[in-house]
Order: sequence, then C-alpha cells, then structure tokens
Amino acid sequence: MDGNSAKAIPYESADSSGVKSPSAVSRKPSGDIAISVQNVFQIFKGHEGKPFTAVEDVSIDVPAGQFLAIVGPSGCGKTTVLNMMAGLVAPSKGQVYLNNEEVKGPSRSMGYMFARDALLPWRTARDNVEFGLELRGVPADARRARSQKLLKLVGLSKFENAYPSQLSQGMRQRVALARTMAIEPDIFLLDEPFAALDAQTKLQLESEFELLWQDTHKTAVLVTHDLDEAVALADRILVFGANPGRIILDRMTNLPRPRNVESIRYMPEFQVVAREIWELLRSK
Amino acid sequence: MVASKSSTANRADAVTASQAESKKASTSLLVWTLRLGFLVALLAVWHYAVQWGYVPEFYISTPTKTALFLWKYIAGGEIFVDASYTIYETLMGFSIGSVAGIVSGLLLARFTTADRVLSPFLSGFNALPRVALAPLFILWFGIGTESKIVLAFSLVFFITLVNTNAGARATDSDIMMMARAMGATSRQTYLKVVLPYAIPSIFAGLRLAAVYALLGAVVGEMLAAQHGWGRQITYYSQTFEVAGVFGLLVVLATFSIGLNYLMVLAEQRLLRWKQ
Repeated sequence: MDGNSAKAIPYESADSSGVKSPSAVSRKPSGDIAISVQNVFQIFKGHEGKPFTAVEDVSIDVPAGQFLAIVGPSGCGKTTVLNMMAGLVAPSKGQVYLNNEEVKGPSRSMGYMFARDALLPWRTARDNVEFGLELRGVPADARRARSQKLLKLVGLSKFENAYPSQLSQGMRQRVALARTMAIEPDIFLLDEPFAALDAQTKLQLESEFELLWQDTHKTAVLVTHDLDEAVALADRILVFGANPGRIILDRMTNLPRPRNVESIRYMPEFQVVAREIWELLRSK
Repeated sequence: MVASKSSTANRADAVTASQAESKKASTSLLVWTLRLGFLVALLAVWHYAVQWGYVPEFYISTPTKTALFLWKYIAGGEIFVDASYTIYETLMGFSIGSVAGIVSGLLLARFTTADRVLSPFLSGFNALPRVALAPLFILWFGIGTESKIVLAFSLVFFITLVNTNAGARATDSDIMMMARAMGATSRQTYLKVVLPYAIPSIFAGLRLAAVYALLGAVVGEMLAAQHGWGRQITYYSQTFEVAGVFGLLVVLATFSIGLNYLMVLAEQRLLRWKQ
C-alpha cells in the first residue's frame, strides 16, 4: 500500500510539518494511565447453576500511548477483558477506568474493531466510513473530507461508492479500519481485527494499521491468538492462561519504532522475543 | 470485484449488465415461445373440450365467448366504472393498512413491554380468517366502499405488522455491537441501523399485502356491493354467464400481476445495495 501517503493522516496536524520520528515521542510509562483495569472478575452461571469463572482477578494498567497486545488460547477471557475496557461487558467484580473515568458503557473516545467487518450493507464504503462521524453530528462536508482522506489512506479511493457486497473481505476490513480511524479515537480496542483475512491480506492490513497508528501515538489494546502478530505490532505483551482466565505473563518487547511489520519478523530481536514468550508459554 | 476507476467501474458495470441482459434476453426468447405455446395449448384444450362435448358449455363457456365478453366489457367502458371502485378500495386499504402496519410493527419492536402485552391478542387476530369478518364489516360500514376498505385494511395491517416486526428484530448482532461500540444512542441505533435493516423484510410484507388488499376488496364486493369487479363476478355467476366470470378473472389476474410488478420495481429502486 501507499506508505508515504499513509503518513499524511491529519492527527496532530500541528507538528506534522517536519519529518516525524514517532519514537522520539514519549511512549514510556508515565503517570499518565489511559486504561486501568482493577481486579476484575467475570463469573457466569454455568451448568446447573454452578458458577463458572471466565476471568479471575485481572489487573492491567496501560500507560497512554502504549500498544498492548493480549494473547492466549481461546476461552482465556482475553476478549471479555477487552470488552470490559470497551464498556460492552460489565465485570462481575472490579472496575475499569478509561482516562481516569470509570467505564459504564461504550465511550465515544474509543475506537473498536473486531474480526467481522460489521459494515452496513446498504451504505457505500464512504458512507460506512462516515458512520461514526454521523453519530457524532459532524457536518456533511467535514465528514466527506475525512472519509475521502481515509479511504485514500487504505487504498480504496476508487471504491468509495461501492457497496460492501461488491468488495472483497480484505477491502471490507479496510473500510472498517477507516471507519474506526475516522472518529479519531483516543484509545483503540481491537479484537482479532485481522483474524478473518488470508495470510497475505492480513500482513498488508497489519502494516497499514501500524502506519496509521504510529502517527497517532494513541493507546491501543490488541487481542489476538497470533503471537507473531502481537510481537510485530505491540510494545508490551500480556499472555493470558485459561480456566480461569488470568494473566500469566507481562513483558515489554523493547523492539524499535517506527517499525515495518513485514520485515520486523526477520529481525533477530523479534525472534528472540517471540521465542522467549513461546518457551515461557510452553513451560506454563 | 469492481473495476479500478469509478468511471471505468460504471462502464464495466454497464458492460456486464448489458451482457447479462442479452444473455437473459436470448434465454427468455425461448422461454417466451414456450409460454405462448403453453397458453395456446391451454386454450385449445378448453376450446375442444367444449367443441367435442366432453364438458357442457354451460359450465366453462368457451375461449371465444370469454374474449368476446372482455371486448364488450372493455369497449363499452363498463370496466372502468368497476375498476374505479375496486382499485380505489384496494389502494386505500393497502396504503392505510400498510402505513399502520409498518408503524405498529416498528413500535412493537422498540417497546418490548407493549409487544409482550399485546402479542397474544395480535396472534389471535392474525389467526382469525379476516374474510370471516366481512359480513360484520358490511353490517357496520354499509355496502359502500368503506366496508371493503376496512376488510382490505384488516388483511394488510397484520401482514405488514408481522413482517416489519420480524425484520426490526433480526438486526445482525455484529452490526448492533458495532453501533454500540461506536457510541450510537438508542435513537440513532434505531434510525440508522434497525430501520434500514428491516426494509427488505418490510418490502416482502408489502408485496404480499398488495395481493391481499385486492382479495379483501373483491371478497367484500362479492358479499354486498353495487359496483366493482367482485360484485360483477357474483352477478355473472348468479346469472349463469360463465364467460363473464372468466373474463373478470382475467381482469383481476392482470391487475394483480401489474400491482405486484410495481412493487418489485419499487423494491429494486430502494434496495439497489442488495445484489
């Protein structure tokens, strides 16, 4: 995809004049905590009324600007914890704070994306990208300008008037990505956003997302079962274990930024980190 | 997949569309010939069944006499008098009934408590063969057009209500979750997600309802009326003029097909995204 134009995304346009070096911007944990998950539990009523603990005493602090990835086997409660952050699921016990405010429901400062594109089939690609802006009462011409810019960034300018049924799966997920970017969220919450794509498209979309994200310096939480994806994209990896869902590993990757998602996989540092986590996972 | 430039995309669409059309046209030429053949065969069976004495003309008349009746019915202008009554009743029953049905279906989908309270009553009314109410409607609303409109309304209302309600509840759960995560208010979710999602289902209801509106008007006229196609059917069958009955059935079928065709056209225009 068009990497150069991807950097022209209008976030923080005030300092976009010079050549930016995203690594120069502080992403180190400061006192500024964007997401704070405090001792959350999720307990379901299981068979014959026996309670089933899906998430047990999970606490996570995500500093502003950090890219956190949560990996783990299916059924480990990683999506549940993400949905608690998103305000889509209320924890049975414990609290979640976004930007120091307790989460009571979905916040308009968060951008959520999942494996299904969930595009509205009666809207064109452009109108789908504008959906969140429409909800926020952004005037039509401003919406239009933003959606056109974003569709260009994800390489779909020529498809702005196409309906979802006319687009391939990868293109649809790009539209969904543009829709999430359009609302300029403070916090990205991503639930396996690339899981439904074929290997090549997945890699393309991962790097497109990384490029878009690098210019925003926003906090991001990615849930995935793909360890390579997690290491390639994130600054910090949380590994969840199942039965009950809990954190079994919390590790900073310390890989350099900005990075190229496609080539970073061949760097020795990447492989060291990935192998280390993989071995830790196996020994647990 | 669509072509790379939007102008090219349009052209490409046009090309594929015209190709598809010509393909459709060539197949339908054969189909149309066969259809015509089938019609001719049907008329021939009818004609010779009477000609050779298998069925008395008294019961089924003949194709020629039916055609002759239709010619006189149309050329004499009588058809237009009856049409103005039947079509008026059908369209009134259809439009009032479908607006009321769609609005109620949407309201019930939104206010679930009301839905739970009313649903046994609604299924009760819906289960009742509404045509059985026709004599009551005539008692209440007289033998003019009102009783037929009410009968058509009672049929249309429930069909559109049930379809609208089902459509408004069937919203894809992923899309609902997306709308929530995007911060949509419940009003926004309703107007921008639930309602558009229900439209195909509403249309399916409307197509069915159009046919039932005509049924309501005709049945009402058959019971008691002074004008209309239904009333003429009763008249000709009571006077043993089978050619007249058959002629009117042809008129009714033609009108019904036309009505359905209009609904399909409207649907295609509104649901262009549905390929």
